Amino acid sequence: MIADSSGSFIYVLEHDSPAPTSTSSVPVASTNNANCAAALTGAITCGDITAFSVNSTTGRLTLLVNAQVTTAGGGSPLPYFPIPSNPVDFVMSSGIVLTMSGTATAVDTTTGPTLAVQRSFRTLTTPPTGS
Amino acid sequence: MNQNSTNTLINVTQGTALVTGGSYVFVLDNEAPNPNPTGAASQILAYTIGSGGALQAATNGVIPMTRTSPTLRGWRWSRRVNGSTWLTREQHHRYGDGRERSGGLRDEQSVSTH
Repeated sequence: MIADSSGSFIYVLEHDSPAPTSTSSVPVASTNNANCAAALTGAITCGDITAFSVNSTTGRLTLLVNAQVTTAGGGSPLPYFPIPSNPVDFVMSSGIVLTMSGTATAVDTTTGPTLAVQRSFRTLTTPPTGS
Repeated sequence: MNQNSTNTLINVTQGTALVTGGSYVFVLDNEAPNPNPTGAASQILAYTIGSGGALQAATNGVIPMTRTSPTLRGWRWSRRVNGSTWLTREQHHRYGDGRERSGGLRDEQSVSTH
């Protein structure tokens, strides 16, 4: 979890984005999450960043929805920002949230499940208004 | 809040951490640089952030990691009085009762050329 320098926004990195069929408050990781493909072409799994604004008086958090991507099947904006699967780390710099993710590209079946990864970046820009 | 596209990092396949400092984003990568005249086991790659968050490789932005391994977290960027810049990591101690405190320098890596 990171906050911007003003303390006005908080960003939470999540390894597995909630599946579209999840109806409870407990996220369910999916192996075929249509919400991932809605934001990341061809993706069937993904991580995500959930963003909140912070009330400077009470500290209360307000969810920032993803106005650019609607939930699978249309309708409401996604309540998170999909990022490529297997996120490793994320930082904020110059108003930009940068996420480093690794996507599995090979599994060695002769010596065990060793994983080769290719890191990629997903970027989220954050204007001062945060919405 | 707007969401932009991905960048694929060239020559980075074992990235372990991101550190921001100055006008740079540093990627810690647990693999040797290529070419590798110093025999380093790992590397740091420096980038600047362009329009919309696109990363641009910094000039001379491949830094052999000579003093330690990048595989552990907790690196911070710092600038010293003489203007040199470093990535540093503090020592962490855990008491028998589970309490934890930090203090003292555990690792450091110069990134002064950037």
